[in-house]
Amino acid sequence: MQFRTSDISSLAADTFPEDDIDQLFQKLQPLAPPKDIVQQILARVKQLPATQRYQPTTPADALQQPLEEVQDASEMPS
Amino acid sequence: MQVREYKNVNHEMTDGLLAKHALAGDEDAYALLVQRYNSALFNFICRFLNDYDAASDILQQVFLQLYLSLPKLRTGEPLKAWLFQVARNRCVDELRRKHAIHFSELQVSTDEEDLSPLATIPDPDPLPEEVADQHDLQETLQQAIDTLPVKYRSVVLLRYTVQMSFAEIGQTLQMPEATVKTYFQRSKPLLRAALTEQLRPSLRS
Repeated sequence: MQFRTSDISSLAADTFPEDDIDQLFQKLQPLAPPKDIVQQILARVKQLPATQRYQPTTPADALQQPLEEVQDASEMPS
Repeated sequence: MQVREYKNVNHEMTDGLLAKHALAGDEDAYALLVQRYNSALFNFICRFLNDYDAASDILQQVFLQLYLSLPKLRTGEPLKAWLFQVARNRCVDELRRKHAIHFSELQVSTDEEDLSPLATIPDPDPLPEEVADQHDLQETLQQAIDTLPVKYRSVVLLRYTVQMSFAEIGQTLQMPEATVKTYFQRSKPLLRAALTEQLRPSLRS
């Protein structure tokens, strides 16, 4: 079902079912962040004092197992 | 978003593995985590605050907090839930700060509607009236969200903009799933009332 501003007028009839509220708000369009936001974030990390930054000391081969404590978001129930 | 190659990490890696690489000093792994979640987090924050600039700043704070918290991420919670929990808490702090400091300035912002981030939504080839209609709809929905109490707003936005399950939302907001469902159901009459209130002037004319 396509919603436009005019569709919201049906609310005035006081007969707008909850499922339609769902459908209406699922029309919320994603708001995109600034294009360079990733670069800005990485730049802020680079500005941290050296003592707060993690230095590469571990060979990549030793990192093939994930942290048990930090679960993967993809494992979350859907 | 800029596409780039990563030396030691790839897009199939789990959050946990990327976090471990990042903690070992692999900046590419951290960058990949940022790329993975920045859009969804920004959308959530921006809808929560209805403030594009503040959302950009808070998004940076969230990822900075992630970086600094990497050694302490041992609570057993999924990284996605952790990120949205931090984002939600910072949004609440920001709302408190704004309302405390410059409540009177809120009216000034009505003169700046042309600068609304909603106006920047890309559309492939829309007709002018479609742009106006869609813009009006988005603004109407946003204004309805703005009227929600914070505890309901968090649930509604995680559901509608992040498409989280009720269980995920409960995990993120640290509340029982049943409470999440209750909040979600209670928010719907409020949203309906807010939408009706917005329409009232046009319906009278």
